[in-house]
Amino acid sequence: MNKIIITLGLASFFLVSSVSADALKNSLNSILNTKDSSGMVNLSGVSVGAKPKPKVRQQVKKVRKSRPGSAIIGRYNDGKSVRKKEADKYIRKATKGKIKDLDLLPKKQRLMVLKDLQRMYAIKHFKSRPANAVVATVDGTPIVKKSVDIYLKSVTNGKVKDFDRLDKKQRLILIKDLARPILLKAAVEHNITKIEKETIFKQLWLSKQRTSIEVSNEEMVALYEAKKAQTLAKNPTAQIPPYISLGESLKNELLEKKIMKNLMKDVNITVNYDVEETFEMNDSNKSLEKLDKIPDTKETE
Amino acid sequence: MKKLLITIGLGLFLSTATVSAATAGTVNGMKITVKEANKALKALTKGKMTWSKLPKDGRKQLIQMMAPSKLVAVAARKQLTSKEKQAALAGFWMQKKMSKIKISDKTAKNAYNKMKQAAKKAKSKAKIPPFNKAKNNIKMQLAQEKIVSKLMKKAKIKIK
Repeated sequence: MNKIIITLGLASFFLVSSVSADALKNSLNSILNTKDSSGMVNLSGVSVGAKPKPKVRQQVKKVRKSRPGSAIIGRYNDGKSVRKKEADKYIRKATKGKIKDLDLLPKKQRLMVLKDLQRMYAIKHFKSRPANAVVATVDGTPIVKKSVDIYLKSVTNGKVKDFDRLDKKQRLILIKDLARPILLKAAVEHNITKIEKETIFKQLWLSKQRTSIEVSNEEMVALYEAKKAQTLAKNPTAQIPPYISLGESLKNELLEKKIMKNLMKDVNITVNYDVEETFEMNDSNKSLEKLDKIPDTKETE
Repeated sequence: MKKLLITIGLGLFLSTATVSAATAGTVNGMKITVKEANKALKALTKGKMTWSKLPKDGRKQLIQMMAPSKLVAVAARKQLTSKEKQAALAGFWMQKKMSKIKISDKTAKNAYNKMKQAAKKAKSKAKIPPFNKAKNNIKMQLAQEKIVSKLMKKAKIKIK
């Protein structure tokens, strides 16, 4: 009898408890599903029975997994490997011991650390090329470091003297500047004849002479008076222009005379009176005959 | 046949060489060839006179007249620095090229306006000349830029 009572009791207990558990679950669900207007935190998006996403767990694991200090994390500009322990040391110093492991940082910061290390290494191990090293070519024409350094110094007012300290962009700008005269020179060589060149040099030399030679007012007046007398001797009724109107032409005439005087000083001129123009004929036999007849005598002035 | 051709060839060569070597006179040891003398005479007498027809006095006068040009050429070659020479040649070449480039008034005006705006932005105190006065200079500048940029475009620049 006792056994029957106990069995019934237990069965009724289980029935009641399951009913009450269901009610609790339902009430909780209704709380979560009904929109709250009381101003309390809305938990409608929260899934009560949901498990944490496996992906997030994996990411956390990946960040926290640290590589050994000897792991290679990059390369310096000379090809030497960058070890993780170097980066760790750098971070420890930079963060005053707050962060000691590179792998704890996100990717962007890890890259920044690597770039910093590479930059510092480049500064520490910087080696400039020798002065005669060819740093660029323009249409095959070499440009040596020395000439670039001189130009760089002049452009920066002496602040930067070494081409190798410039970055790629700056180097290109500088070389383009230096390329212009080289290209101009090449263009000139190809497009100006020998005769044109000689004429240009002659004109330049003469203009330089004109600026270096002085002509006094007295000399100009003397020349004016001489010309005036000469004209009046030929034609006494001739109208003579005033001195002021002839100023520039008188000066030029005097300059020409002075230049010629300097030029012809101690000059040795010889004239060959026996050369026959008939040599210009391209008749081989006649030319050969006349070759024999040419005397070597020359008259010296 | 071969021998004949060789003889004719040699003859031609020798006759040409003789003409270039024929000396009308010298100035401080520098040769003035008959060819050069004839060229000068052609210009002076409008082709009426040649070296062979020229009397003694005339020859002397002609060589004396031609001497300064020879002397100036030598002095220029010796006394001008390579930088001066290069600058003169570059200037001449640039002028030659610029004469072939035409810049319209409209282009010049646009460039002038841009310069004016830039000067305003930079708060420059310098007086800006009116367009009519600055026009020719702007045109020259634009033509120069065009020539240089054309040169730069064709150039092969390698940085090591």
